[in-house]
Amino acid sequence: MLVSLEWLSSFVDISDLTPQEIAHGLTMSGLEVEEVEELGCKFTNIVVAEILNCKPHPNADKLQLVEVFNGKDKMEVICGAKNIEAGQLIPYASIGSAVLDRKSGEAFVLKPVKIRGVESQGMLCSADELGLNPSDYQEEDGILILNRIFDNLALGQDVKEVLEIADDTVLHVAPTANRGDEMSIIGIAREVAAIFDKELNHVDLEYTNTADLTTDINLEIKDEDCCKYYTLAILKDINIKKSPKWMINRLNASGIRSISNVVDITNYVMLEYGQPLHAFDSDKINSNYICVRRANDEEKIVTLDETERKLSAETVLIASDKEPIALGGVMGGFTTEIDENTKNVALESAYFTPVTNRRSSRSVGFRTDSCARFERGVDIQKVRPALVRAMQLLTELADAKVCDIIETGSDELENLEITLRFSQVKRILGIEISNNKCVEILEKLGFELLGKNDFSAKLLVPSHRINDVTREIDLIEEIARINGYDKIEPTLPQKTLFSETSEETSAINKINSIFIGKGFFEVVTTSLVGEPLLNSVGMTYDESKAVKVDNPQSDEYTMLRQNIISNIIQVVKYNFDHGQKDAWIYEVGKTFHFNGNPEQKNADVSEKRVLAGALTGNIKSGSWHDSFVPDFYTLKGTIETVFNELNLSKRVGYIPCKDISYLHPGRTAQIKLLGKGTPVIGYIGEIHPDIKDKCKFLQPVYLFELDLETIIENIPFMVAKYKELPQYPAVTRDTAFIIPKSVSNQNIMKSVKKSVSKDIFKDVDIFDVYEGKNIPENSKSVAYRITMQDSSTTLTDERVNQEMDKVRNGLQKAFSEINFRE
Amino acid sequence: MKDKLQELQQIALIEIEKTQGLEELEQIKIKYLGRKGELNTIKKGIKDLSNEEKPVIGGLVNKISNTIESKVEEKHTIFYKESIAKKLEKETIDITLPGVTSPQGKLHPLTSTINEITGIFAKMGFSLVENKNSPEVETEYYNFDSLNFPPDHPAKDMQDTFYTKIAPFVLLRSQTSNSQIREMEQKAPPLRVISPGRVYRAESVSSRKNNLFHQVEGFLVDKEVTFSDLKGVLNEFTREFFGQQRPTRFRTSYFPFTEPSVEIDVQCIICCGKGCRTCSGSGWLEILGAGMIDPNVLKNVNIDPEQYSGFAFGMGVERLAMLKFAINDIRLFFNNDLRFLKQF
Repeated sequence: MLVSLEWLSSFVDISDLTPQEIAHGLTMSGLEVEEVEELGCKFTNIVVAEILNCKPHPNADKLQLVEVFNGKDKMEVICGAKNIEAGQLIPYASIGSAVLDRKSGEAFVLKPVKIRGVESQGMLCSADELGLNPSDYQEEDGILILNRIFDNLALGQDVKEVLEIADDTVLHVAPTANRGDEMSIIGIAREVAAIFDKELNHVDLEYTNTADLTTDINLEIKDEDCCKYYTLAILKDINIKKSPKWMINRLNASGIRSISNVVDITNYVMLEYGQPLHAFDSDKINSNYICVRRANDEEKIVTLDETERKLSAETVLIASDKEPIALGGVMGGFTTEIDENTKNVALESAYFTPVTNRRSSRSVGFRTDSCARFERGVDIQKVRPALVRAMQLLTELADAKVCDIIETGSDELENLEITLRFSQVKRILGIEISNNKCVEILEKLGFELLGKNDFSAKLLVPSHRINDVTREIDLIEEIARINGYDKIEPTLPQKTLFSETSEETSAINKINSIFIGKGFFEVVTTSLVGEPLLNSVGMTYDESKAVKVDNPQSDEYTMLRQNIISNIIQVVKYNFDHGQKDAWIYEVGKTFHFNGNPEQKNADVSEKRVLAGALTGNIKSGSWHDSFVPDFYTLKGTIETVFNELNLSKRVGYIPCKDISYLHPGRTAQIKLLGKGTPVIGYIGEIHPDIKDKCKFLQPVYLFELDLETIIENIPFMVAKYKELPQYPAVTRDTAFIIPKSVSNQNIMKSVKKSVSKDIFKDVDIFDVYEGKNIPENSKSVAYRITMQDSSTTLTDERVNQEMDKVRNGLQKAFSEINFRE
Repeated sequence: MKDKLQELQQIALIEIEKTQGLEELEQIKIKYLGRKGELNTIKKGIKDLSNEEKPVIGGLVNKISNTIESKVEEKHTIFYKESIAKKLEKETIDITLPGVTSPQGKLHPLTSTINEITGIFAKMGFSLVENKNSPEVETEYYNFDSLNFPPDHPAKDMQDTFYTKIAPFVLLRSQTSNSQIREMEQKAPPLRVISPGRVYRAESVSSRKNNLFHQVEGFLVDKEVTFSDLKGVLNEFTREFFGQQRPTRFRTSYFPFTEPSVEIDVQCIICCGKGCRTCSGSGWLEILGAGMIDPNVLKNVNIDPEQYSGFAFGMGVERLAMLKFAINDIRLFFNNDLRFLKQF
């Protein structure tokens, strides 16, 4: 909303305040001022002058040399406009005066200039060079011909005076959703008066019937939920004409263009009182019955903006017995519009209830300035005073004969009394504000003191705050904001409370440091996905468990994700497409699955935390030092580190897995948590070649996704226990053999572990795997290192050899096709 | 004999001095001091000398022998040092080659911002919300009704909400405040909870707005909690996050779930209060919404507002991260361009 300070000053004395002080005061107490705009005259020293004669410029066809007279001196000016001739009175700007640039609208100072060899002593101005809208003044382009528009001009007179341009400052304010009363100049004046401790100068007018005329119109409110009070003033013999300059200025400052005196007055009173009004051409109503009712589905209305609107039972209508004539509280109808021939006016002022007004405007799909006021709640007891104010203005400015006010419903309010316990002010705010000061502030805001003792005061809520002040706490807020939040001293809570760290948080912190330490970048991706994304990475979703959005903005964001892998593949693709081919990334995020039984307090959606990521390319490539080739096992190693750090490594099993649609069937492991229920907790593998091709990846991408929820649930409580350092040396022996590729490392390890005597077995590691040259097809050469140690003695060669024989025999028995290399 | 010996010493010393390397020095050492060397030869002849001469010449030979030996020693040290120096010289590496590090990844700037915020509040005794109490798919009850939003109130327009097809009352939460209700429903005061999380708004995606973003919500409920405490706690936060010297201001605002409500601005970090594009000329940046928890909200979770009071606050993580890192497009956070992620 735009607030003219010139207008505001007619209700509260602000002569001792700068616009910035007012803006700051309002902002701090809850009415945010977004901008302070200086209006008015940007030009200076432009005066009325007469054109004495025009002659062609000696060196230019399109320019003229114009002799002008400002009442004192004669000057020669070069001008390119075609609409000038001797005898006209025009705005003349001398050297040193400020004029507006026609394109940018910025003011600049005129300097002496020679045009084609002739000096110009200033310039003649067009309307836009004065900051005016040219079409408001004349039809043709060119210099503004003042004598066609204004009478009684004097040579040398300041053009600012002629144009009646008022200096004004406008505050751009944003009232909060609870403050309908701040949607008016008077309401804001009341705030300013309270903040700066001044008087509000406003008294409502009394209505007097001057014409002794009566009307036979019957009013009816058919639905009291929509409208509590409806008034109509009938005014006759109206003279439609232009509004006076002062009103146009105030409307312009408020961002509203002047149309005609009748329409302007309705807007003017709405801005001043916050009460929207509507004027009907009463001769066009063609009925003596007007009602407020809901529309039905078949009805239509053409509104003032000449648009046909389809209506529904949510729409509130003003209707005659024949047809709808307005959307109540939203916009008037086209058929009863005021035009230049209007003689008789029915002027409406009413209280449309906030909730139904909101639904009504939503039902027709548009909002107006009226809606912004009705839906916040207008002051029901200002419905009639605002109407009287408009009648007064119509009498003064449109020569109207007031006929009568007719009304239906009631503007009476139940008294809302609130008791303020002074002790509560300190209990909530933490500072002492004297009892008197509390009451004083509330009285300034319009609350009426009904009674008071040392402990409490009883206050009556004024009608303009009935919508937002209903409780003691609301009064305390009023006191706090007017007294000033800056007067409240900051303190810290005295009690100590321990900040707890959950298992989940510490697990996620560990996971983050592992991934970051290994060179992965954390990503944060959208949980709102759509089929375009899923299709682009070759993924599908489970329709029955989908959480779909009812009002999506586009098909890109239609549901919540069921996995994070799609997002991860998309990030790899985005980076691949932008030249970043080495992407090691991971994300900790939620997936969403609907379980089927929503209730009022439970959406019944599983929101699971998932850890997912990708590894592709070599983040070390390009290093001058040494290089390694990251692959499946690089990613697996990272995940193993995670399980290790979470004390779960002994419980994790990797099982070959062929049926994950997005993963390579020969290069994928299902990850299970061994033990109770052996839940599947995720997958790791190479991207499926189909998706790789679809995404145009030129290199393998390794992916994983883990169910963090289940993992965290299973983290054991463990504290490391010190074991005595060994007294006797450990012995290591290697064994190497060729074996079919189909035999897994896991099974070989199992056999080795089983063979070595338990008391001296320490460890077995694979340290070489080779396939290719010199090795038969479908076979691999592998080498294992076995570590043995006896805690009570040094192991003899003989004992170690015995054990190694057991290992080889065991392997031979388990895998008949084994071929030892020693 | 004496003169001959003196001469021998002189020649020997000159020869030693002239040597070029360890090998040559070794030869000269043998020449003079070796078993068959010149001094030994002379020593062998001493027995043929007169008794008076024997001690004199013998002493002189020993002295010369010592002199030569120490000269050789001295020269040897020099050659040794030289040879070591040469060897080390050969081993020289280019220390200007870049150091070899294990590749280092980074947290996403949103995560690090959330961690910084929650870390500051943890120091003031705030615990992280339980995950189960902070769902993103939520019912109208927890997102609006329990938070004192009147039905069909324009305040709901402040947040354009995504509703779901699951049920008309199931939505994607538009604010993290649902966690406030859920925590208070389950736990008794004193409570200090900090709740970071993802929220959704039905907005078209642009450089300034995304259809999802992150908030950090926090609240404190106890006996005798006042607006002064709200100011104290949030002042500490802004000082830690934006620097000790950065001025703040607390101005009145409106939220349905707090009364009185406040918005907290810090002096613009770009222009330091002079007014610029980032702060729309006001010199201030809005960073936090807060207020004393509305008695209706406390009643909704069966906490007696006559006994207890509290305050709550919320902030937008993207906004804070954009201000802190001078990021001008919110979409950058969700594109995850590695060239972007590497900068933080």
